Amino acid sequence: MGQASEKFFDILIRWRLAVVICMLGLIAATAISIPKLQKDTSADAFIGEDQPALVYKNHIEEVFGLTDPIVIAVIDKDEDGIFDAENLSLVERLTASVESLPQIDPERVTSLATENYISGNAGGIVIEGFLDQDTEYFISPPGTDERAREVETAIADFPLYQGMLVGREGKATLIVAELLDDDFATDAYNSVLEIVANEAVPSGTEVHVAGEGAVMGYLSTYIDNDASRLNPMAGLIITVVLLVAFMSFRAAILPNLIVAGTVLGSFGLMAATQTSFFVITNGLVVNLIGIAVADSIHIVSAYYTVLRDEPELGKKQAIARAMALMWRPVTLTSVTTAAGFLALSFSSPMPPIQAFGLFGAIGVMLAWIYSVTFLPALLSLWPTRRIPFPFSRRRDGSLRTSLSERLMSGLGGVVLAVPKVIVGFSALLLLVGILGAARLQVEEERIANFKPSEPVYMADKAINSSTDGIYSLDVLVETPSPDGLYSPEILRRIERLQTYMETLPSVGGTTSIVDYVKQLHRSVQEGDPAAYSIPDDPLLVAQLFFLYGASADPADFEEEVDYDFQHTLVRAQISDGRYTTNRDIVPVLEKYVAENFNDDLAKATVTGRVTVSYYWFHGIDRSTIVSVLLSFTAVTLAAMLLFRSVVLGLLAALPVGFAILLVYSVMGWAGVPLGMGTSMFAAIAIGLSIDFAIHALDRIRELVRKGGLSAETLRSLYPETGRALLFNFLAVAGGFGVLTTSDVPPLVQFGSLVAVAVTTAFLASVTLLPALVLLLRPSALFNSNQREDSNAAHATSA
Amino acid sequence: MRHTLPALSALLLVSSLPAVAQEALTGDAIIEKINAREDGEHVKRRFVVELTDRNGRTRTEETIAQRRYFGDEKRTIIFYTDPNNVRGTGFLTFDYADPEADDDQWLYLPALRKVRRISASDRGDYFLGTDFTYEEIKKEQKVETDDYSFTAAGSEIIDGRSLLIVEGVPVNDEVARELGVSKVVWRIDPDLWMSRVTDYYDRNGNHSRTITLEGVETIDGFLTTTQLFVRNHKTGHSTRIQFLDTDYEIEVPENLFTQARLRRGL
Repeated sequence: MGQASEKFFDILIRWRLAVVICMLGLIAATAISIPKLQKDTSADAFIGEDQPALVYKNHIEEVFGLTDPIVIAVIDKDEDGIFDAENLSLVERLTASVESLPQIDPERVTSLATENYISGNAGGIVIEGFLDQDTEYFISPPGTDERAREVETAIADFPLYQGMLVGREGKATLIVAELLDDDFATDAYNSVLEIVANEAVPSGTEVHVAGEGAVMGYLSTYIDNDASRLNPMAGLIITVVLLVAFMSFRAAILPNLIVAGTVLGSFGLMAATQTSFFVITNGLVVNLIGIAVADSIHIVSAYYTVLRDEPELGKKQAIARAMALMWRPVTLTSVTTAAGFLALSFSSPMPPIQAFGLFGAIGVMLAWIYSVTFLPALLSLWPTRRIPFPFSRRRDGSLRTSLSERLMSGLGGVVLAVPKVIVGFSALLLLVGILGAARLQVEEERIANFKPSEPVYMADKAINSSTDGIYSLDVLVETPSPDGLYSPEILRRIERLQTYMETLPSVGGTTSIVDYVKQLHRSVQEGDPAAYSIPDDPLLVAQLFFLYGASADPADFEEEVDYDFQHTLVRAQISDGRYTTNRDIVPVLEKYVAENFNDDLAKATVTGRVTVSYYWFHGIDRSTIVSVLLSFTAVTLAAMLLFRSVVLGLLAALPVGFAILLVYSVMGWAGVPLGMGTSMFAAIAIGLSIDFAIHALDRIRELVRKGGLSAETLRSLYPETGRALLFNFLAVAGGFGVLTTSDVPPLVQFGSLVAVAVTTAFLASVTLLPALVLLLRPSALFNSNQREDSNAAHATSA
Repeated sequence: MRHTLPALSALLLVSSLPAVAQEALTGDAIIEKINAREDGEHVKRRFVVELTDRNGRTRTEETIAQRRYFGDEKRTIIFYTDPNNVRGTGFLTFDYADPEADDDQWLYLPALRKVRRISASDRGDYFLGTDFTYEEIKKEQKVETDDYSFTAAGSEIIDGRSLLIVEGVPVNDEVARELGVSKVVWRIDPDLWMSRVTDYYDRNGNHSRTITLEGVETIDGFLTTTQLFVRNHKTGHSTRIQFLDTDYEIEVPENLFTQARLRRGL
């Protein structure tokens, strides 16, 4: 088989020009769609399109015409809060400017400047704008402090607007602007920021811009910034690693071509399959750069070693021999890495993570194809066969030893001298690891995707602390036939629902058509406070709405109730977006709704942003365990097949399990929760970490077969394979390490956890693994498999 | 100066010749002709209002409406006959000729057995849940000349009819805000001096609504709209109003337009 594979690569190199042309063709074919790649920064992107929670939210957007808004908060913490002439005129100016933006629906901008006050007197009812000219109810002209105080009194008398339009303390007021289309989020957010920047904001007043629309706009900018910075940085890091490892232009340039082909191909296929570029997809570019270069490092390293040790071989023969040596470990490590990505893809319910896993796996396999065909063809086309410095012999014929080689050899000396200490120490770490992992918590907060120093983060916190909250939890109440919502019985049920919702944690306040009904009822009864109630006559309810429609814009409550008075939305404002909070709200509310709205009169469904977030993250712990087990099983089986031994397979899997456990442990002890970014790391880290163990164990077996099992024979593991592993590790850790400089905190967490895992796996593969081999003396190492070739003949150490 | 008068008169004479006239008419002159249409001292008719939302669901409302001029002032009383839950609801309006003066409006709610004065709406607000604005309902396809500056913009052939195009732009921001428009385009049938297709653009310049004249007849000697359709392009809503049993000769007594009468109902 060794001969067979060498023959295969001989032929491949003979046809090298054809191979190069084919591979360039493949790269071009896969990359051609790249310009069509679409960005998708919405939170909804993380939820499968058929998820009931999302389906319902979209249904509601359809019925009530709601889109994700941009929220501008005007906050003034002084004595009179926002109720002074300056602040109210600021609200009026901001509202007018925002209404004129092309991305905003001018009829769906809500603020003190657009909303109406409903009041009643002896003669009739008055419905008029808080800041309008020529008003009946408000006596002072707009633009005066007196008017501001009148507005304050009016709001105090109008529960519907307390908490959301104006904070309960009167220190904040919001301008809520709905987008015409979610695709306009970035432009709209930037335009709103510009409007705010150009406004004369009174001293002492803060203006913040937040909301789902703002978050989407922000993330989009993040993606661009990240992509233009991280990717070149990762490329630079691997080039430096390659230069240090090989001190050769060949070895720096050719692997970069493999990397380029891999990245272009993966993203081209992503575009061709109309998969969006999500917020976390940036992480994939950097991953692929680090992974694609690993195969090259092992192949180029083997090539130079062959050149050095068998000087009689020509360039082409040396390449064929190096490939015959390396194709198997390279193939298997690629398969295991791809298995890790696929496990992530299959076990995650979130489309961006599914795409991340799928295209990660595709990228790994593209890198493998290019590494075993394109790379040898290119190496053979390279004009020189010069052996670079780290691999060359001294004049006296003795081997040079580079710093990295001496470093690894030194490590080997220590490990092999005290294997029991190494194993004992590892066992202790394992125990600490299990204890730590048991402390792991699940948590996710979308706003935590931003650094606390970012304006959008500060806006979120400021608004949540001065109003009822920026997150919305909705209950859709449906009656079986049109006009069903005029029924006082249903309205009273909605009123009780609101009361119940207000008892839930972090719920600041609720709004529904019942609030309008009560305000209108009181207004037609000359403002009698006792009439702030639901009328007993359904006809009166219907006529109250008719009255409102006749004297103000009937579209004022189209966000609360649909056309036929058959569907209505009860909305709660929530000030805390953490998963653990949502978890305390959504299921109990669903239970309440199932018990109280489940008959012939009315049905209800819990929905809204908060519900979608809850379901989005719900089950992340289970899906994380599934993905870890799936990918761990996959790589262990792959290793067992490779070594055709259960024991050796388990040995190879050991450093991996160790690495993952330690990372969970670090998270547990440090209080880092399992969130979106942190849940993704394990499956990928497993696929990457197994590579070290496979390369190390493959080499150990060769050495043992040739020289028997002793500390002395295992020492030879370190200078060459150990050194290649070191640079492989540096490239991968460097690639993922780049993510720690990302602007997106989940990517930072993801990158650093993978880096920690890979470091642990690398160290365990060159310390714990050889130490265990020495102590356990597994018999599988000695059984030369019949079908096993003796590649060891080509083994390099002279 | 004097000697220029004959020349001007000659010009006027030429412009009143039918064939050339339409070409030479200014926007203001065309609007003038629209507003010159006689609409009767008093009228009684039924409105059948069909409202359709973006999902294609429709709802029908029926009213009986009576209107009478009191000099320049126009008074209207509308009673709902259908649907049942607003049956008997009455709506009384006094429209004053001075556009600066707020109209007076009263509503009678039968379930409350009370008449309530309601604050005046903005002229650009939608009328009783339809896609027509108060202004359009009140003006009955005429146009407030003080609101716009008009430009004649040629002609266009729609459904085999050559229609004159007039564009109107609000004279100032206040009017634009009140009416909620930045531009209106009328397509006027010179045989009727009524706009057959009218397009409205919102304050951001988005095409917001199109009103189509779907039926017109001469009743009792008056050119009368029998069917009008409006589509709101932004919300997907549409409204069709049929004007039935229009009668300019039936008696519409002056004392009908009082709160007491409103309370007595249909």
